[in-house]
Amino acid sequence: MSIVVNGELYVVPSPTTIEGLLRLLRPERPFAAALNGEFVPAVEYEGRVLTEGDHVDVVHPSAGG
Amino acid sequence: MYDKLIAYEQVYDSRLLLGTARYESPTHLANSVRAAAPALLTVALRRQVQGSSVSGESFWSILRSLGRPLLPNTAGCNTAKDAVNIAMMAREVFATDLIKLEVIGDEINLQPDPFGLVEAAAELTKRGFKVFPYCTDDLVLCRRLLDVGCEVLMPWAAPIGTGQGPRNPEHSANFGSDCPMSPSSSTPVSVSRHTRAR
Repeated sequence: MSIVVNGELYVVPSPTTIEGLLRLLRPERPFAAALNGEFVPAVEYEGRVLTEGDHVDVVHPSAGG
Repeated sequence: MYDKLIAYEQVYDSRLLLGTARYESPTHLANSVRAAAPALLTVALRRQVQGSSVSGESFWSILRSLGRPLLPNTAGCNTAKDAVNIAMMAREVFATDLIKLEVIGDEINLQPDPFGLVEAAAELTKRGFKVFPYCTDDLVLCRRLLDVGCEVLMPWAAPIGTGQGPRNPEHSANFGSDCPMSPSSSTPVSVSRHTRAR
């Protein structure tokens, strides 16, 4: 199954949840995630099943003004 | 020597808000923050860049070591929907209801989109955020922002990055009296380059 993560294409096993995807990606902490442009609280990662073509964004603290 | 900054019932000893971008190095950033001891330190959210010292775990470690209150922003957002979404993500990452709301309407001079700004501010206020809207100094816009629940305004003094300083200081000085619903109207006007609070 193809998933777009931060604009890059990833092939992941199906079915996969956001939790499963993040276990594969192991992003630096802390982070927050969005699915198809909508924020997903961390407590919902395990229950949110991904489908073909979904877009996931993972963001981190960054310098800003 | 200076007035305290009061924003959303929180009292800050400093009236300075300081950004975290464009320092020569993480050491310069840390030293600057320690020297300035700002009321709030502005930060952003970005997609991860491998090996970056200004994002991710290394940046987070610096922030934690500095121990200053954080003011996340919604930089890079062009719509109210995007700004609300980033604000929700920021609240989870930084564990604060404070949000510097940026909805950009012009990519060249980064002028705020007044319509998207009011829309996003209204929604974020409903969701319990304490909104610091980065706005133009248009009086009617600022009144609308106060109407939807903002208690702080951050009208620009000059376009971002121009280094021009206040382009219309007389207008800025009169802002409190021109904006009678503003919490800042009864006390001296503040503060840093973009910020106004009571």
